[in-house]
Amino acid sequence: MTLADRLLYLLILPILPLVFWFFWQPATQALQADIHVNGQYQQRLSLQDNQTLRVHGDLGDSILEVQDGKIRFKDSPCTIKRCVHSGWLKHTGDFNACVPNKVSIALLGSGTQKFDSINF
Amino acid sequence: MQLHIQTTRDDHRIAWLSALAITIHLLESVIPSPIPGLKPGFANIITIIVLCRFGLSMAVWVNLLRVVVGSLLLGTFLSPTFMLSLAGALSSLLVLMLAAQLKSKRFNSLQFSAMGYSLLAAIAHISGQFVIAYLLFIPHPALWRLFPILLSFAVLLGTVNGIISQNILKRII
Repeated sequence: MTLADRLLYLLILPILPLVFWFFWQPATQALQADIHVNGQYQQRLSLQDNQTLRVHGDLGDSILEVQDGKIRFKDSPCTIKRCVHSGWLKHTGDFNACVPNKVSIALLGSGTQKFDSINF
Repeated sequence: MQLHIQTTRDDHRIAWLSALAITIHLLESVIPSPIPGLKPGFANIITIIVLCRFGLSMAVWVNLLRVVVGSLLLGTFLSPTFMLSLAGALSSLLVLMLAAQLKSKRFNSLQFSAMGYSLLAAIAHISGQFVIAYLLFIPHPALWRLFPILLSFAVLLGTVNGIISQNILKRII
């Protein structure tokens, strides 16, 4: 090990915890949500505008609530209400759907994303 | 008409050393990995040894030939795996190129040995791969959460590979 090697290690080893601290952050706050019904794109909501809206699905109207950067299913005409019980969504990449009513919410960060990942 | 290609001693060296690196690359691809993207990178030991023994341009040849031929043999040529492999190789070669500049200076102890080269190459390799993975394949900020873990392994495996390279260099001189 030469002096240069030692200096390199002295530089790298303190950086490692910093990298952990910097990248190991909680998920980023989502800014927008895309609503799909039956796989078809319906609309894009800003999570900054508090509102309650009805989305017409296969069984009836799902009621979505947007509040302070979060979104949830407030009510849905399904029987189990799993979508309602899963509660608020607020992180980029979060996803929720009322499968019987075929309504889904996908949360987005800044910018548009065409895909999650590519694999072969 | 018979085609005759003049080959130099260096050409033969490059061919033999690349063959060795490719063999290690292929054997390594069989080892199962606990985390996606984690690989010991033993093939890079050859790159480091070639850099220390025969200089930068030969190391570039051996490393790039390994990536291209290795992918042809594994059937991943031009696939994301190949792109990531190439990105890693190019970024580590770039860093090694910069690090090797220290060599020409007067102070002997201020140049890197195989240890330093190996560590630098490992870090550059994983960083380059993350940038390309983020730009091309997984444009999702959550990808970067893997970075600290893989960087730690890069430091660890870069050190292990550096020790191996150093021991091999000691024995072949």
